Amino acid sequence: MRDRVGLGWRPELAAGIFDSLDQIDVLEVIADKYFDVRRREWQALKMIARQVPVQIHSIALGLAGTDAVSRQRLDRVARLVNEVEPEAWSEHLAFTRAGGVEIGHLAAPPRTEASVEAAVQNLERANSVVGSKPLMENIATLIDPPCSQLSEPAWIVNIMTASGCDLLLDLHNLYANSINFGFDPLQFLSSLPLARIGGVHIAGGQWVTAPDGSKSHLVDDHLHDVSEPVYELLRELAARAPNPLTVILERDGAYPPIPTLLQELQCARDALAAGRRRQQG
Amino acid sequence: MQGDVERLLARLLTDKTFRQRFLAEPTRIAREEGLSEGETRGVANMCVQDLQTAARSYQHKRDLKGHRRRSWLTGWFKATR
Repeated sequence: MRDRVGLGWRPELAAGIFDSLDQIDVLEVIADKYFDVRRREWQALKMIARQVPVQIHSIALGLAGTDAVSRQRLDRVARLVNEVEPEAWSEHLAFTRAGGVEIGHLAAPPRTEASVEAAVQNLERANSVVGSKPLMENIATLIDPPCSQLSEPAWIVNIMTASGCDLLLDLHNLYANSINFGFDPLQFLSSLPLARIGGVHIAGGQWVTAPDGSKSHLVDDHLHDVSEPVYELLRELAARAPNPLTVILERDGAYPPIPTLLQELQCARDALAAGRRRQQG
Repeated sequence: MQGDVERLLARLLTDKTFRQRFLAEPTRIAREEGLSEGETRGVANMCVQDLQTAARSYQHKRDLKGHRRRSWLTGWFKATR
């Protein structure tokens, strides 16, 4: 195995991706986009999966919430995984609904032993229905979850330990949280079991100012280029991680021309290579 | 209970009227929602700017999702034709 670099599959990028498969090691497909499509799109996805390794990324199961994960939602993921036979599937360490309220996006639950236990139970259900354990991704949050008793890395490690799930480490989420809440991302990296990094995300974001103008936050929006600090974290990770890494560039809109995205993939490869040289030297 | 705090957060991130009521009287609202005294103190100490920026960001993402849901199939068919 070697380090690999790939791209999030988006229909808007399809033509460019098909023309550039020699520069894309792996594609990541958003599961939820395929739940309500016709047979033709499933067949197209299976055709893609025959040409390039595919990973499935689920975004709305809410596995780290207290509410039990929906069997119906799990069944849909299971059907997709069964049909496409991806090399891995993943979800987020987040809750997306609570007490009947749908948030419509990922939210960070209070980091407590109770949320560790809830996540582990939901991950067991997911494993049971889908047939394999997901990689679990750290999320970006603009709110420091109230009532938390554990640090973010301790909470993540506790869930990994109890569930047996490996980590999908999103470096932009880590970077954004470190900026917004004032911690050292390298110390965060040091707290993780780096032999259990099953995947890596990189992306871009933007600064937004609070409505009253008193404070700015770095928002993980997937609409901007990857910034240098994220590549620096990737270099650092590659210098420390013992196993090959699979890095996915996430872009969800404001799409630049495909050569620009391919250049970002090359920057990721360069960062990985630089980190590996440091590890070997 | 963990679930009560999650439900309160979910409402704060999705319901503008509820959020305004909470920001005016966080302790009273948290108690009304069934939070313990410790949990009430925890949510009452949340950074107001963080909450307001998060709520705005979530609303933007929900709006964007609605737009993308409409345009996604069109994009797919164009790309694979």
